[in-house]
Amino acid sequence: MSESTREFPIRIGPASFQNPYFAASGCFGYGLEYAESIPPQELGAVVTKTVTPLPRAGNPVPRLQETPAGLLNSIGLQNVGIEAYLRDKLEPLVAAGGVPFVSISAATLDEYVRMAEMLAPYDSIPAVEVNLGCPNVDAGGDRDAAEARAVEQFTRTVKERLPDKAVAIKLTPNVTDIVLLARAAEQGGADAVVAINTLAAMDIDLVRGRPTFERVRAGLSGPAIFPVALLKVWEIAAAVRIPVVAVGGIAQAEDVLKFFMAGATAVQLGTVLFSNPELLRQVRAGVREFVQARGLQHPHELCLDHVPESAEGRAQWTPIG
Amino acid sequence: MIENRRLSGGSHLLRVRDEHARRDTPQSQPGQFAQLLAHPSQHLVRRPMSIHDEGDGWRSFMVKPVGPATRELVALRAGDSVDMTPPLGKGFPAPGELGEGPVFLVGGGFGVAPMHFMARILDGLPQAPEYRILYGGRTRNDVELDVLAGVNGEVLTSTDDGSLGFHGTCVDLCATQLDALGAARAARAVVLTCGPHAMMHALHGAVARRVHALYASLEEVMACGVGVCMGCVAKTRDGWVPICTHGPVFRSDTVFDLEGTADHV
Repeated sequence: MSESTREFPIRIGPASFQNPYFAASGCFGYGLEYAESIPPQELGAVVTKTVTPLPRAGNPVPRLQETPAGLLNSIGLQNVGIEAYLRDKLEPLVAAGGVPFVSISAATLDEYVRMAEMLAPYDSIPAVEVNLGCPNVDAGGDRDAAEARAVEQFTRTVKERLPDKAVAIKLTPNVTDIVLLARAAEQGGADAVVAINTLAAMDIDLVRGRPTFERVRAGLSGPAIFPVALLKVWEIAAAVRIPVVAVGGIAQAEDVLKFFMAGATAVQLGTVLFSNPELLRQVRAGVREFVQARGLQHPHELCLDHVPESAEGRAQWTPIG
Repeated sequence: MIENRRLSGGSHLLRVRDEHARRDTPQSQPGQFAQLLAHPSQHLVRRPMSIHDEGDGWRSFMVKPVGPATRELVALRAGDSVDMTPPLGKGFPAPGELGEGPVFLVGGGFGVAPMHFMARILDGLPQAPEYRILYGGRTRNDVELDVLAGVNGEVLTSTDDGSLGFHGTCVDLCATQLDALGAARAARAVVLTCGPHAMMHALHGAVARRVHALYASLEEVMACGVGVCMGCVAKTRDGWVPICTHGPVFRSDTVFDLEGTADHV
């Protein structure tokens, strides 16, 4: 752990992290695939590729389609399964100095019980992200987690079995009001909420005359969704007391600063890492410079006052000097 | 970008600076690819391009303008910036592993690009196997022979409409070539191919059992290029694997006609 990467440490529930910059699930593999260009020990944590109770083959190809400033994906949670993850993937990341923030997804409460019990004995795992928002699977995806009651149940089921780990709940934006889901996660005992997962979207192949993806529905990520994510983070931060981890379209340090102003405790870098491995260093330098120029100690001080909407429906806040 | 040359059928040959590249001791293998995007670009992810050649301080790529990102690339001029990864993936077998020949390099459309690289390397060997390039397209417009400039080996062309060379597909042409060799020589032949998926699948069906080995370079939409995003997978006998790291070149019998193979990861 180098001195330069231990900067602006944060806490989420029982876990602490050396900095607030995480890799987003699905964009950093199991943690070492990018090690040459982005050493995992420079990140606050690596949110790993989501693992499921059993290995998953994922969806048919094509799985990707670029859109203006975005990327549609229909991967379908292809992963090795939790057993192989714990056996083969966890230790190498820890040995390299990376901090595993293990992402899990399941279709039933029983499966979440089993996965939480499997993770509990591992002291090297400080934090678990529960992926309740994948639009690319038939069971256990965003539609099954679109109701506050389900979110609360899933959250409580996992947190009760992992009292010593930070449990963060990743929410789908594909609902009428994500704030209700965030409150439900808080109610269920979550240590943080993560917002947002990909936006459900589709494309049509004009030549073949059919939807581009076999499941029709895909998830949109990339800079195109940043303003959407910013609003969701803003709304959630105003409504819950637990930390909000912001994710969605970060392409530059300015985006991260805006997430901090909206109330984020930490951020996750995702799709843009595919084409810009320098993003982490650019974010680190940009945030440091901005914070220092304002004489602040920590980017959390950038958080704007979230004033409830007034009668006229206009949010008000006190600008930073 | 060092040079952007328009080819006869509308594709472009782009030469891009890479200080690590060497002509006599290539740092990449035919069949490997790099991901390219104009810099700056309107687009988000780099596009995978098979390597056409490697020289001292540069690599070349055959780019067909099929979408907005490739149109952006071919509009670049010498001196413009290109965002390019190092060579990625696993290429075709090394020349020493191809046996004594005959070797058939079967390119469909702009799939001919890595065949140029392989031919150029075979030309430079003291004891090169006998090889032929079979270059097919739908019409003569798809067969841009200037992309093979400088190659010593024989080039046979085919077009679906008969407007140039053999009248038929390059699959038919390859089968005809093997017929002419006789079964014994054909059984020692190695076939390397790159082109549309359906063409390579058909080639596998037509010749894989008659030759020593058939290797195919697969194409798929990619994002990360290094096995992280799982966007570009192919079903193989070993399960669903990312084409960018396990390929793009596979032995054809590991990726085609897998009926009955279990879906596993």
